[in-house]
Amino acid sequence: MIQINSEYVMIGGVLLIILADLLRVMLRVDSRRIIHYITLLVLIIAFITEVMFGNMDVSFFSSMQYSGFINGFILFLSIAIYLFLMSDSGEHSVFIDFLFLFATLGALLVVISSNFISLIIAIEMISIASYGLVFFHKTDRQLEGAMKYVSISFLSIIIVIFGTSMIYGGSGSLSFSITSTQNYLPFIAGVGLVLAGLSFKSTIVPFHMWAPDVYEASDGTITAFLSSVSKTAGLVAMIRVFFFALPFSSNFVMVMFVTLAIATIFFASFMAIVQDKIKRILAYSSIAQAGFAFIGIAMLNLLGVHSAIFYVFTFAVADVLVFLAYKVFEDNKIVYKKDSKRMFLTSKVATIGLFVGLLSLAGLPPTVGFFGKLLIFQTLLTHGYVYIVVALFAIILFSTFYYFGLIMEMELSKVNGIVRKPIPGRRIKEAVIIVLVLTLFIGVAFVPF
Amino acid sequence: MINLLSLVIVPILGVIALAVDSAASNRVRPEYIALIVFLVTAALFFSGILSGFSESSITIVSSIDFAFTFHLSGISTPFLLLAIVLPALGFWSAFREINGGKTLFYMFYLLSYTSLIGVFISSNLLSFFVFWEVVLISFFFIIAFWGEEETRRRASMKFLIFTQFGSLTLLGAFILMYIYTGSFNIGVISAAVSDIPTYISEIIFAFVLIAAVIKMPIFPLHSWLPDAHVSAPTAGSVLLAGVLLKMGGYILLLFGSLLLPSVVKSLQVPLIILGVATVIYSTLAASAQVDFKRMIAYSSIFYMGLVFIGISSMYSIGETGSIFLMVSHGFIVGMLFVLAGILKEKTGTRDITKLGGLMTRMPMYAFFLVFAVVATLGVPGLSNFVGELLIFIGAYAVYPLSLISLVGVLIATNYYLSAVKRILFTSLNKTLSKVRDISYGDAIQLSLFSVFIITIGLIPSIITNSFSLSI
Repeated sequence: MIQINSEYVMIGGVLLIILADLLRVMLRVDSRRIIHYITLLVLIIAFITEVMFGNMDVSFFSSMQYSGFINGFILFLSIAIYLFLMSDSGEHSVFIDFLFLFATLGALLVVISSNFISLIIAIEMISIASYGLVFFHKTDRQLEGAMKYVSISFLSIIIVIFGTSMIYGGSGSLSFSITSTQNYLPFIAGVGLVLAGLSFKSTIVPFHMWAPDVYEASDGTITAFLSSVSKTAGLVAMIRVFFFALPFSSNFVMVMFVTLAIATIFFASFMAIVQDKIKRILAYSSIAQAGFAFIGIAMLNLLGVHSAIFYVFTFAVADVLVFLAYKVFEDNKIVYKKDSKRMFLTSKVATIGLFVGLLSLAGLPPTVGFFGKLLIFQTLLTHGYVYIVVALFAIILFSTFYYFGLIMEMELSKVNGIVRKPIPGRRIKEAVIIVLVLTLFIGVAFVPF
Repeated sequence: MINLLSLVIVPILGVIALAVDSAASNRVRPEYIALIVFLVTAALFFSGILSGFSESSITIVSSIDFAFTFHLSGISTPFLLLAIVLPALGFWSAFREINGGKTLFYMFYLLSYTSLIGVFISSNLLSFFVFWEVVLISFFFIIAFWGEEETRRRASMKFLIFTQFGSLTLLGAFILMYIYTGSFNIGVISAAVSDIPTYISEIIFAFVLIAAVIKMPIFPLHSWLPDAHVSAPTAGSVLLAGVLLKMGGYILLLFGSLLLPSVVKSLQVPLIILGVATVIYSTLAASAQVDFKRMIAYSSIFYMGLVFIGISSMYSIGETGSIFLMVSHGFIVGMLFVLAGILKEKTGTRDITKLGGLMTRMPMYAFFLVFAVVATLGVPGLSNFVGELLIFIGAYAVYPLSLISLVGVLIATNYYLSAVKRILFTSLNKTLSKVRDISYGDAIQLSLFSVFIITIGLIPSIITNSFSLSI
């Protein structure tokens, strides 16, 4: 019996868009709106089928325990981002619709791939589509951002392929179910290379340096996509590889992973403090968040993976929220920290959205970010890492400092010399932000275990 | 029977009403909504005192044991009294002082109100922590956006960083308790506390101690408090000194001396010495202040030092005295902060050296100021006396040298009385010749404070019978 899955819906959607655009050109219809609506409809149908039927289970792809949850929130966030994109300018290039669906499909496939080949292809689907998304959405530095992204991404995927070939040499197979039983030296070297390659995608230090530049150069909605959906895919790929495909339990690997994670958190937080531009602060904070999720993966056990998956969910939602809210301010030329004076008067809803998102990123209750950090701490303390927890407390204080520093300068009531530009699609944008804020408040009810 | 849940729900409904009202372009003044919330909550509380409270529990996520469980622990009632009454008494100051962004201010004020109540009645540690942090965030905003223009940003950030560090260590303690007992419920934890290995319970107590030392605050980690007080609006100061500091005492009692008595007992003498150091340091620091509000802030560190001595004496008389002193100090310091706020408003300064002879211009104000100062110095018949006496008895029984802190009381008498002399009784400063006396509204607010102080002072058994030293 053939089951309808969200992945099939997305593939169908991608083809449908190409056909529809062809028809549009043949019938000489100038308006591209209809295609935007089709894209949105495809995303929504995919979300519904995901919730109702779950993932597909064919040769190269098999669902793991929480892939339904992960794919569900990936589609949910994609819908939110796409609504924002749509409301922004009314019409945009059809390429963007196509690439957006393609990248989302790639993210969905990463989550369920059960073979190194399918994993690499899925990651490449996200990457190639993302270059296009960065380039085709007009900003003044699009070319720089896209070029940086392309060159770094190529490097990372080459490293992954090289590592995979070593794994193949060691085990004679690329299927996760077979590699999980191997233990052989070149094989382990391959694992190290795969780690390095995947770290590029999920911005783990020292492979993070492309992220702030690319985020800054791309449009706010695209940044939201890169920092949530694309990064979720990277981190889930790591879970897939290091927990399901190559289940080590060696102490050395664990210490190495924890060191990388702590280095990521510390480095990104320190860099965030010295930044001047709001978007770069948010970019570095998003790197630090990936470090927190990586701690859960580093524990290499079920409790750690649980906490990592939930943490990825919390920070993905919060990151989408802050970048989308910041997009509203970006359009009103609020770029530097000192400009944050005008935030509240520009848009109340976006300010509240930004603030709640920051609360969640800083790990303060009652937002869902707190519960994400709680699970991470619980994992660490269960393993007796009291010192690491204390060090993380210190760095969370640091991050609280720069997160709250963003909104400190805000003025609540004085209006002098502020020209309010009308925000296009204001109603839809505010609705999206409000839905995401509510998600952050009630998100704890979605704990998948 | 009154359900404890209703005490938390009513202020949250108030916050929602404020948001709706703001969307409907403020048809009702936000002050009135806040006032209604205070009156309804207080009515619920006092009828609950008479008819008893019923517990309630709402499970949110069972796999991580997160539930909103409301249950009165043995020591909650006096703290609950503070959390319910003081914000309502401070409301009048907010009514007069806050001009810009009223809706947002009352939203944060009601949020801190509901979460202060929530902290004292939660028996699930996660919901406890959620309320604990919401208090912190709403106070950060009250100071940062409605504080004094020059200092508010720095002071609010200092407040946030210090107290957030305390919160995080407290969270660490909670998670450790969960790992070793398998539950976040205080009742379950206290039943299974013997399962926790000794070294883990020492780490837990160290974490709780850091949180309490920052929150109360005790000597080396106190420096956020004077800054926060000086910058905060009066209503914020009343809540800050009256209830927030008591949260520190509450966790030290609950998770320290009641949950882990053996650990506290082994650290008793160093803790008492820390308390004595706080007492001596804060009185000396207070003597050097010329800003009246800063002086009160340091004196409240002094009283929290006494409370700390009483709790770490691990002796029922001392602990009873500590709870008693926290309640009485809450009312007295609230009254003093209201008086300091009025002083700034009427004369334009809180600098004691620039004031003088206000007795002739403001007789009613003079009456309340002298009353509050006399009460804070522990004159028999007023509330502080009972608490101080019990603490000194308890501390003497355990560690006689702790009576050094009596010197602190002496110095406190000196600086308070000389401040009162300077403000009220020297010759009138010419710039102050047009100052007017307080309004009837202020007088009613101050009288309400006085009623509580006198009642508790004359009939101490109201407080001492309302709690038992158990979880």
